[in-house]
Amino acid sequence: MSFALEIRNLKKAFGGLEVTRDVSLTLAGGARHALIGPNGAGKSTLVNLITGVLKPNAGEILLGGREIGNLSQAERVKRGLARTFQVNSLFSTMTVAENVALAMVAHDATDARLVGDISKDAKLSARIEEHLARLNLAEAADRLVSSLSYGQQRIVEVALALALQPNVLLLDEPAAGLAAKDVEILLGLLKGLPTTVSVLIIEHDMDLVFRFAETITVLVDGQVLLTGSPDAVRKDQRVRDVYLGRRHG
Amino acid sequence: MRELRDPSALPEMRSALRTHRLGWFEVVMLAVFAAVYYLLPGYLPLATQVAIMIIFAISLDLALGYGGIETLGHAVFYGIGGYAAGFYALYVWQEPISGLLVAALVAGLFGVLSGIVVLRAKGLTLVMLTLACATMVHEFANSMRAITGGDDGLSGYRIDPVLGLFRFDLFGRTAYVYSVCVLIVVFLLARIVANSNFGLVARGIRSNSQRMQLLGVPVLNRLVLLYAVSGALAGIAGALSAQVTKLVGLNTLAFTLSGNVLIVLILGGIGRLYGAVIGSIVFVALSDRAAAIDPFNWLFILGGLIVLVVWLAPDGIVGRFSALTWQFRKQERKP
Repeated sequence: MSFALEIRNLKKAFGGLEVTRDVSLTLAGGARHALIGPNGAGKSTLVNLITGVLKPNAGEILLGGREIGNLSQAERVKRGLARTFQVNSLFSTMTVAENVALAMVAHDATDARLVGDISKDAKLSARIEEHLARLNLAEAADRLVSSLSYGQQRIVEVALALALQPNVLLLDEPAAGLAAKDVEILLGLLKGLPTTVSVLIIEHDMDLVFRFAETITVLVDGQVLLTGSPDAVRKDQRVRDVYLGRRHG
Repeated sequence: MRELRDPSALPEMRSALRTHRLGWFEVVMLAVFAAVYYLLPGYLPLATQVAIMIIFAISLDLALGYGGIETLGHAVFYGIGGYAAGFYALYVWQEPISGLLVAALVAGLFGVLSGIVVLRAKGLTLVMLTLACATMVHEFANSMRAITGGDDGLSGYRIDPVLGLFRFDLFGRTAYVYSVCVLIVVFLLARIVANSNFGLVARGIRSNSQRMQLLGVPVLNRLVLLYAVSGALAGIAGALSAQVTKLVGLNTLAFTLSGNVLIVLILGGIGRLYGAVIGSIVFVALSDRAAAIDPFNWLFILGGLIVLVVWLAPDGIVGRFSALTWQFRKQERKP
């Protein structure tokens, strides 16, 4: 059986410091998987290894059963892997609609098209409108991203990744810095994602994690401590000791 | 989740995907060019220089204003286009329009080859590499004196009448009309590129190239394509200059020209196409007037005026005008 995403014995060290130690992880089709762990556990490093920002020292990364470890970041995206960033990384001098349009033309591989007025492309406009409406961003279509609230910018981050129509979506702390009401909007959005998309979410907001994830992997000191259901993770004494504490016990 | 508002109240996608639209500015510019022809016949050679500078500045605007390619060596394309058109007229055919196309092709090809090397760098390194590239070509042209004429320049060729009908005359009438027609074509071409999917992607690269990469866009390839298109248009400007002056000098490859066209864009406003038009008119007109006022210290006067404009309008003249228009509209909307 091939998984949407499979990581086998991944290792990464910066000099003598091992930050990813023999990590293995699988995401089935339509998975809602969370990766949790204390600061410095190596969660963002793992996302950077999967997306190609960093090169692993050893191990394999398979997307849909095919090895992608030697592919560039752009090629991995073309194979259906999209991500969001812990810190917003948007096209801040452009409008929300332009941000989404960029992702769509990149996905359609029409980004080198030199002719044809993009604002007169009725099909593209309709797709952008529909996409933004689904994410409650339709009213902000013509606003510069830099003029949006932080919460709205986080949603635009997700909008950009989803516009790529990925098979696997990696969300790096999407709720970081969000107000409670914005977290609810984000959760509603994530729960509404189609099952064709497998999601790996890294998050410190445990309420969000336990309400969203079906499987949770706990990473500590670059190693997998445990993978299991939210209930199993909540009850595990080791997880409570190193990360959750009593609140989620 | 919030409920959606009435769809008619939502922003229009055409305005949300901001593209360059033809409007009153183009009509005014055409009227100005026509007026110069009829009312200022003595200034036609200067106005031809303005038209050529606008083409050159538009080409730089595509690279710098849209794609964020920081270059101090854009004259290399202008010079290569000029020499290509000169050699073409000297050894192959004197027909001017095919000369422009050959120049565009040669300059565009040089854009691809040099772009693959220099566009891997960013910031100051890129600035230095583009400058070094232009300097190398300049020195190459200088050392190949037997072919290029060195300091004396490439001359001794003639250019056939445009379309076989309009002979280049002593008063510069044909040269002016020809240059303005080429300018209109180049402006429309640049507008097509700027409004295309590729134009949007170029703006995206300028805004956040790392994220562009993570959207699956091969950023280097796209920058090379943009550099080649920009180089081809700059080559047309150089070729036009070679055809109307019947001379291609080493100065067409010089750093001064690269610097001047950058000043033109800073004056007019970057990333707007209109900035290239306004900046060129202001720059050439200021240079001419400053030289008329004081033939010895005109550069000092020009420098002072440029400092003044940049101080009062840091986003360029067009940028300042846009900001004022926006403020005016905002005030008008207030009840």
